[in-house]
Amino acid sequence: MTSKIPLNTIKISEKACEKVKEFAANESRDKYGLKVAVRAGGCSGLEYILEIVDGPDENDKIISQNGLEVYIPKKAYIFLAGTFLDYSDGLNGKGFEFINPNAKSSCGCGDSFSV
Amino acid sequence: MQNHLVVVGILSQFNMDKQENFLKSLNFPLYNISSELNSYKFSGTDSLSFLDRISTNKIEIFDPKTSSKTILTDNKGSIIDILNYKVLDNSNIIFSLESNNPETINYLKKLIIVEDVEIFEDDVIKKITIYSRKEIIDENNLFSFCFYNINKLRDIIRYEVYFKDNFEINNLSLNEFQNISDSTKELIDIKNNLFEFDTKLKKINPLETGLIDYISFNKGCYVGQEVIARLHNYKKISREIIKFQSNENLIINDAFKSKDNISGKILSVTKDKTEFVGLCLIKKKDVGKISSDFLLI
Repeated sequence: MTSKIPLNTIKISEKACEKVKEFAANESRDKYGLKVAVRAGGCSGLEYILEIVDGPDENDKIISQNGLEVYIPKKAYIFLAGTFLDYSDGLNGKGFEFINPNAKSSCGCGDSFSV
Repeated sequence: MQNHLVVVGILSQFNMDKQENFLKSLNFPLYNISSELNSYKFSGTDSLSFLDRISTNKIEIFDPKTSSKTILTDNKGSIIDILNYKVLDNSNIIFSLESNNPETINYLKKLIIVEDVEIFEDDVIKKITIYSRKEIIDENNLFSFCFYNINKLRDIIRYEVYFKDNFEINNLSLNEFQNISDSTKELIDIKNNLFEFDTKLKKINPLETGLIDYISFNKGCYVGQEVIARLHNYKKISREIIKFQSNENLIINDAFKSKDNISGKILSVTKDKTEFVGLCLIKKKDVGKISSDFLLI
């Protein structure tokens, strides 16, 4: 799946989009989007950030996926280009899962990576 | 890594008395003042969170405000540099680098991606290192300095106090202490298995170099945490610090191999009259092969 994603975008699975919408509904938000970013931290050096926000910031790249607006800070985009965001539920599910072609290695839990 | 292989010989005995006599000849308390060092400031609402996520110590606002060290490690758990820091408030941390190498600042700046953190160069500072046989400085007198650390060693107390160049340091009563040279200071540190981090040192981790006091094992993830936690929990620290003496001026981070096939890495080196002494890391399993605490190279 990830090999088909062009580097000028990121993909979010339908299930992940639905889950974000569910979280937003629980927070009674009318207008919202999903902020996807990266910051220093985690065991491997860079960790993912997911946040439901009211709207984009000035320097965010905006992508629409399955009726969901996704905001990616331009400085974080170089680390996320070509990424596929999925959601796996169930008792043994990992929750939101990033499949990032830029990641050379990741930590045991998958929450952080290095490039 | 710029290692070259040095062949070393391990002598069967080392003159421990020489080391002891060296300390006995000194008139404690002693002090040494370093040359100028750079200090910096993290500023911005994410400053504490940022430093907490990239270094080993738990970064929080102290009560009362005091200072500590924290270690920058890479994702393999190897030391990048050591920071002396003080949290001023929710948005500001002052710090200096043990290496005083500006390359570390470039490394830190690259880690700032989307957060509200900026790094500014602050005042020039100096460090006083004081050695005493007993407690001579009330910790309450140290809060006004940039940073300080007190290291209570087996038979000596080592105070490290950083101050701004124009700061009045009279309340430390230095006029009652003996001033020592840089090389004497280094000899005392070597005697106590202490070394100052140099960015030439590669692939060493904080656990094998006696820095465990500056690692939080319950704060959660930071860069390198997975490796450091595993080494600690499974007791997999494979190397140990050993003193060495040599006629040859060895270079920090150099690998060496003895005739008895003991290999290691040079951590620090200084000249003692006509010889060179310092600290090195060797495998723990080889420590028992040495008949004294010292490798003679």
